[in-house]
Amino acid sequence: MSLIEFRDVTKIYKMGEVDIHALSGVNFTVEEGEFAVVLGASGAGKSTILNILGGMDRATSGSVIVQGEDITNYTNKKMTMYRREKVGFVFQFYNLISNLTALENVEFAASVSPGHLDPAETLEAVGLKDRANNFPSQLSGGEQQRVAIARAVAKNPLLLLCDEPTGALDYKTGKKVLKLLEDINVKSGKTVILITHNSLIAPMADKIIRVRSGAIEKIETNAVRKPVEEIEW
Amino acid sequence: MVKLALRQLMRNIRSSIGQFLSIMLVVAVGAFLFAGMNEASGTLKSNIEDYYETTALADATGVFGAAGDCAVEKAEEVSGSAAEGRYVINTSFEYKGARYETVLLTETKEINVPYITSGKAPSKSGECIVDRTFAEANGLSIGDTVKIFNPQVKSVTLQSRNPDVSSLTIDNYTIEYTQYYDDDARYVESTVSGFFLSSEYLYKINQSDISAARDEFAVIIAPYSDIQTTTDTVYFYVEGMETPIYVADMSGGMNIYNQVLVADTELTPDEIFADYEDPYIDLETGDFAVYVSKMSYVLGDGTSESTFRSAYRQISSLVAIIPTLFFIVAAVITFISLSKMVDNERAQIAVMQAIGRKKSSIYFMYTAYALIAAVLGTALGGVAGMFFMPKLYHYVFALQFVMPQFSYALNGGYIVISAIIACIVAASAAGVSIGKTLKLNPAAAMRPKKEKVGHSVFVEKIGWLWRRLGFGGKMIFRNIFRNKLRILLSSIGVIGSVMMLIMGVGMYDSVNCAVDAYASSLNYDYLIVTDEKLPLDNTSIDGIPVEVVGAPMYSVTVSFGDNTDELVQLTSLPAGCTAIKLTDKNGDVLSIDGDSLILPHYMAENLGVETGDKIILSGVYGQYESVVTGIAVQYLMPTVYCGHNVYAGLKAPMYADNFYVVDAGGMAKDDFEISAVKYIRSRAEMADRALEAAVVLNIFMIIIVIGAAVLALTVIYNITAINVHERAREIATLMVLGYRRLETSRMLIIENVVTTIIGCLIGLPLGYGLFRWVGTVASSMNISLPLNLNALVVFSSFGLAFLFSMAATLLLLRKVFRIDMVAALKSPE
Repeated sequence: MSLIEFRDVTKIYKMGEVDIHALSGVNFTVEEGEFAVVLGASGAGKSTILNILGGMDRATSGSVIVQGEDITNYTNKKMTMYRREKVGFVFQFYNLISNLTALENVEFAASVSPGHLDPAETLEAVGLKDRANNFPSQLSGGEQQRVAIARAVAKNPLLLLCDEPTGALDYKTGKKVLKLLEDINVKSGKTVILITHNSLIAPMADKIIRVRSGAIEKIETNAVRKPVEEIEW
Repeated sequence: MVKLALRQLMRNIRSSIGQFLSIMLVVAVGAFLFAGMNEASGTLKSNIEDYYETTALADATGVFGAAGDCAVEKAEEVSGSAAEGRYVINTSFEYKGARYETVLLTETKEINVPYITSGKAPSKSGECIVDRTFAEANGLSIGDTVKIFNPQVKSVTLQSRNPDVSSLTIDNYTIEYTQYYDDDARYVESTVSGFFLSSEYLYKINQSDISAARDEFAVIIAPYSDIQTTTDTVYFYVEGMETPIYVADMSGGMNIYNQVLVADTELTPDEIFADYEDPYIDLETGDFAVYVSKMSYVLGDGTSESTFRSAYRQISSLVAIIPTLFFIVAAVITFISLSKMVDNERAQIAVMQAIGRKKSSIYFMYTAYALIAAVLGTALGGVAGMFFMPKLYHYVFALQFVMPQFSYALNGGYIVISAIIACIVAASAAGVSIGKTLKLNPAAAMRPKKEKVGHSVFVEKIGWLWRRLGFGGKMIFRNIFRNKLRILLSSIGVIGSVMMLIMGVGMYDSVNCAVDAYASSLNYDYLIVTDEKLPLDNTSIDGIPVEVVGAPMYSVTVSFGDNTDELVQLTSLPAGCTAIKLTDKNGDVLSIDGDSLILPHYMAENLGVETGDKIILSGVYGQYESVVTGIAVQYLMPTVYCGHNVYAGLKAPMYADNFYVVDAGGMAKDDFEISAVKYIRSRAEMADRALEAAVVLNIFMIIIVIGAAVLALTVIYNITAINVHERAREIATLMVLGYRRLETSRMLIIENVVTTIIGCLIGLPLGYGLFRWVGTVASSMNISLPLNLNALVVFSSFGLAFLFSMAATLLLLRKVFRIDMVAALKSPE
């Protein structure tokens, strides 16, 4: 059984009298331990997929099965628990708590999750041991994103969902962040789903899910993944 | 361009409708109170003054033991103004078999004219008019007959050290009355021809029975001929001489008055009747005048007017303070709302500058937002206040005072003033909030606002405390110290609210403490007042054990050194009296013996008198120097208490007609079968009357508490709403991380608790100051309020402040729970 299964998922937004079909009958699966990239142009619907999978939004119809459970039927309370225990989210613009230090941001997130990893070790693993007591405003963009990744990973979630994690970063920093995500996936076997509009990143993934106009255009697999160091864009 | 600007303004209002309405509401309440209270005060005052003028209330009233027409002529000669004499007596009357107390006045034609509300003034002998309050309460109708009892002057005895018969100079006098009752009673049967209100009895209180409610005794006006107070022949004696010095034939229509009213003068009665410093008699005509300086008064010093003035002053003292608090809070909310709006539209403002729009036009666009809220708020609140407050004032004052229905000609002046104040406040707040952004050049303004650099706060240095704090606590502390200005501004609403609560709840508590203290000093079951005058050493009446209040109460002035206090009631108590329990400031009971002299505490403080000091009492009948044996805490109806020896020293009439039944053994009022009873008052009735003194104040304090609720709710709601909006991203992040609803909102709740605590701590001393100031202004001759805040008042005020604060916070939690995670996290930082 696949870890994640989208079955005929649709999402319609009502904007006054207009219905916007963000997703139309999306079907795909992701296996445990896979590094999947959801690829598509701006407005294709890839963020919508991630938001539904991350429990931040609900499908209008269809099913989203995660570890054998259909999360589309979850109550609000159960959805909160799902986000708490199963999901680690990395945003494009980090979304760190400005009044907490780097270490505190990681501890803050980890504390809600049973079975969480050690926050200090996680922060060290992303290379920020020396910046543990700095506030987000004192960190560079890349450092902030690494803290965000540590925050997500420290929860020891089932899924690591990344929404354009390099979108706000320069090339070198972005590569570092991708490398980090790759290492997490390879070393700890975490299932990582990353959305991006940059198709040049696709070779680093096990599975590439191409989205266009709210529907799945193509699903590809890479027999051999390319290391991040070899990827140029 | 103007159309575009207006459209933009309307959109701004729509998108921040909550804040807009908050500003409007606070301004509206401020305008409601400012315009309403000023209008109501002014209207009430001018209506009362018109009422006095319509009824030609006397400017000066000379009180006499007795006087003939010479006193009226003297008044007209000296003042150059109209004067009238009249006779005023406390007596009783019968109506449908029941006996009631009355103040009986002879009719006057030009001065102190009754305000006829129905029927007509007496046109002949045998007619009278009765005050409307009594008539309505007791079912009296026009055409009904009442039987008025009236004692008669039989002889006048003048005391003298060295009488010179030919040109009399007399130091002292007494007038001996003979009173008739029952079959020998002199009474007049009179037909009620109409009902009236009296501006003289605006505060309708029976001076001889201050415990009587205003519908329990009547004011009756009848022609002088019906109230002839003398026998046909009146004998004038000089003390020590057996034969009269003059025999007056009253059958010829010689008038005797005990008051001379002077219409329009600025002279005092002492100045008008200076020739009557000593009692005067013309041995040829029999015309005489025995002037009582100490009881004479000018308009404004009478019980009625001074009580009204005190009540009016109590409320007027609030007019300046309370609306000001609201306008300050409006400024705070305006400032914070517009600051937020300007921050959100920073780039837009920069673009407007970049394309060449003048700063003044950009400034005006945002100021217009604040001005519209101010104008709309003032219009709403001011108009409502002007309609509602005068009616409320009238209703509240009518609970304590007897007034005709007044007309209200609304004048918009106060609304205009409110609008000007509100606009200045709003525009200033707007100017400060956008000034900073307008100072930047367009390029700098287009860049995102630099986030505040994070730094540790001093609490982190307290290692053991910091380690124990959860993340929520750490975030809260850092939030507070990084946003000190916002926390302080948020506290201002709570500070204002706490100030008003401390004042309102404190005053309510003070008044009730005063009433309770008064009630607990009454250590008897019943006070009995009789028609008969009995010896002071009476210990029982008709077989019932009693304690005698020797002699009727009357007014004295108290002097110590160069200080003279105002007129105060004097009561003589028997030695070992237990009916009245007087205590000093330590709570020790003060005992009474024949030489006791006990002052009320406020009087002792005013005069600088201590126990053991000698003071001079000056009464109607004489002066007496005595040693103060105690100072009693008295908040209501302060009275000087003395023993019978002191009373005798004042040469007061030494008879008793007031008795206390300390222990009635369960007897009800109607069970007493005592002859010649005027009335019986229970302890409960006396305490109830005391409560009436506080009616006006208590009602306004309730309004104050409501105002405090509005302040706290509005400010906390507004500031928290802005907080939620600004931290939507942070809150959404917490939700994504899996924090539950209450966990995400806990931060906001705790921050509001901290804000409220700060507001309470700062508001407490300010509120105490306000409470003391209002309490001092609110004190009058009948009330001297205790001005100490007790813990219950403080905790109640804090409790209410927290209640309002939490109510506002809970209302906003719905907003928190409804935050759309996706939308909140979408936009770039």
